[in-house]
Amino acid sequence: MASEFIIQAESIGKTYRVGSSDVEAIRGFSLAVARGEFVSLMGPSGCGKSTLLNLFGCIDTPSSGTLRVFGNDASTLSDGQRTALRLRRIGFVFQRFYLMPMLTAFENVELPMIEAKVPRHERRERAESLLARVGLGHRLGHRPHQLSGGEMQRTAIARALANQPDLIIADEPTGELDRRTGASILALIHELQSGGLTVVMATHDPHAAELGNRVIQMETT
Amino acid sequence: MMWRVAIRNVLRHRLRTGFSVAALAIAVALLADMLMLSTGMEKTFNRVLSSVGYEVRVCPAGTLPFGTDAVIAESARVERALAGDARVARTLRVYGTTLYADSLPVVAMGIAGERQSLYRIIEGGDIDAASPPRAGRVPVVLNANAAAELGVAVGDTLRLEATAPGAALAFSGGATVLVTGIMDIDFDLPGQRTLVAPLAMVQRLRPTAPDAASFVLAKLRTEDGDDPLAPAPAADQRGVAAGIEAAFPELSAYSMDALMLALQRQLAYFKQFATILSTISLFITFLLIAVLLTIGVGERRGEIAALRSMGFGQRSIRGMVLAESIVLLAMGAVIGAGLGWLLAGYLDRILTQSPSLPDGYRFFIPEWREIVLAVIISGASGIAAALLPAIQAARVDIPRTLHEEVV
Repeated sequence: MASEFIIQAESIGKTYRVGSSDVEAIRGFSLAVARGEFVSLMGPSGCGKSTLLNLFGCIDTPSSGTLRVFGNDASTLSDGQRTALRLRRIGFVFQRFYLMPMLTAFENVELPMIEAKVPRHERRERAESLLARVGLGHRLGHRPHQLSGGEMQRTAIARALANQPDLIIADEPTGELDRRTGASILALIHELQSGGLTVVMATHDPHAAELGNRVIQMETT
Repeated sequence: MMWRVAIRNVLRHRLRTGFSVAALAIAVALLADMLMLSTGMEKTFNRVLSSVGYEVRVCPAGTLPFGTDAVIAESARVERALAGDARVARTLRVYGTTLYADSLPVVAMGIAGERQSLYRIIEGGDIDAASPPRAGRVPVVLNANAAAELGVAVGDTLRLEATAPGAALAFSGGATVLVTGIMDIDFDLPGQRTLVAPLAMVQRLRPTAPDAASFVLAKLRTEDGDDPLAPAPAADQRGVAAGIEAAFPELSAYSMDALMLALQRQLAYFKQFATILSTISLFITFLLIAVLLTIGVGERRGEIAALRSMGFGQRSIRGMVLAESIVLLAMGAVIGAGLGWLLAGYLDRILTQSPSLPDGYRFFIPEWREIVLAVIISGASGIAAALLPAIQAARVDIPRTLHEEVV
């Protein structure tokens, strides 16, 4: 049934205008991601992994084909509707963490909940609990520059979970981490998926990709 | 949280913020001082004119009191016309000229009228301006400076002459006068020697016209008849002035507001100067905020794109950037308000030391109203400057920015 799928992509394409020429980043890509699934996107740089994640995460819209995210046709959603969808239902984990450097780990996790207008006492409880869950219960008041790379990515994962999303989009989450730290981050993501979250992750690393229920091998168009 | 984020973003680059806030503070202070300069002079005129207690001033056409040597030829006729108006309570004719008291030049004012409020007696008694002088014993009052420099006290006599000692031509001889009092007058320049005598005597010593006066003042009736300085309704003032101008086309009659308007026209140069500097300070504020926020937004494009991807709406992003401009402006305004206040006092002290200014004249009158106005205007300029960076931040191309940040 359609409702069991978080993402349904049918022959989607994405073309960017670069200078005076069009660059086709994705062509005729189809995929359905079921609730609770962990899908890994593998492939060389420039094959369109990040573009695909942007489309699945409703950051961008496809140039062709049909993409449904949580049952919504992504092409017809307004910017405000896609923003609301990202806020409530999608959590993002970036390669470069993108933590706010002037805020503490606690405040970084609290930030998306403020935008979602979660009551103060609830967001405090939730931020503390999420940071404890990713093993940073003792780092609440630390700023990003006081954290290690692994701790920063853990904070970013806690932030991605803040508004209790159904889908986690992770773009090279271990790209800036050493192998050992990266392994612990992957284990954490895997644990989240085991708890019922849907995960779509782009990676270069074949070992990381193997964590997924499905590995989609992409090639440069 | 938005304000916390804004404050911490602003404090991220402390040196940059410090310099910018200092520049903003100077711009706010400059604007506040220019507002004070343009209003300070008007307020001084208003205060000095109101303190005299006369609301209508009649002068030769196109002149202002003490503005020229022109005289009203038939001042008694003007006085009678004023006295015939039921709205007028009392009048004072004034003839200002230079005379020589014991060979020293003094600013002499001949006056005629009842219950004058042009000056205040601080020692002895006033001349009886309503009565003609008694032969040989004409009463005069001096300001403290004249009394000190002439070495006379109440009860002493002086020799008044129309011309300087040794002048080739001598007019109308002189008179021996009796000092009956020491007075204080608001219009005195620093170090000025001033003498007030009955009008008839000054007219005799300076016979330019049979019944000459520089100007005629009128105090109008008020509901509070006991207060000699209580202002009469503006409509009455304008009515009396219009009546005089209709009856005497060769004269100009000013109500208080008309006189203020005429003085403001004379201050146009200062106002222009103040307007130009105010505009420059507003541009400085605008450019500072615009440059600072454009740089800040440019540096944080990745963070902004990440926030947008996490579900932060365009409105929230705009709000964050605008909040930063408000934080910067608030810091600049607090320092600028204090700086403007101190600078106004300092500049006022320097400018009012000029010997060509009457005592009590102020260029800058530090007042919170002007400070608050400067802060509001600067704030509006700064927020306007923040709009473009705020819109740019909200419209950041999320996929492209995230891609560029990673590359």
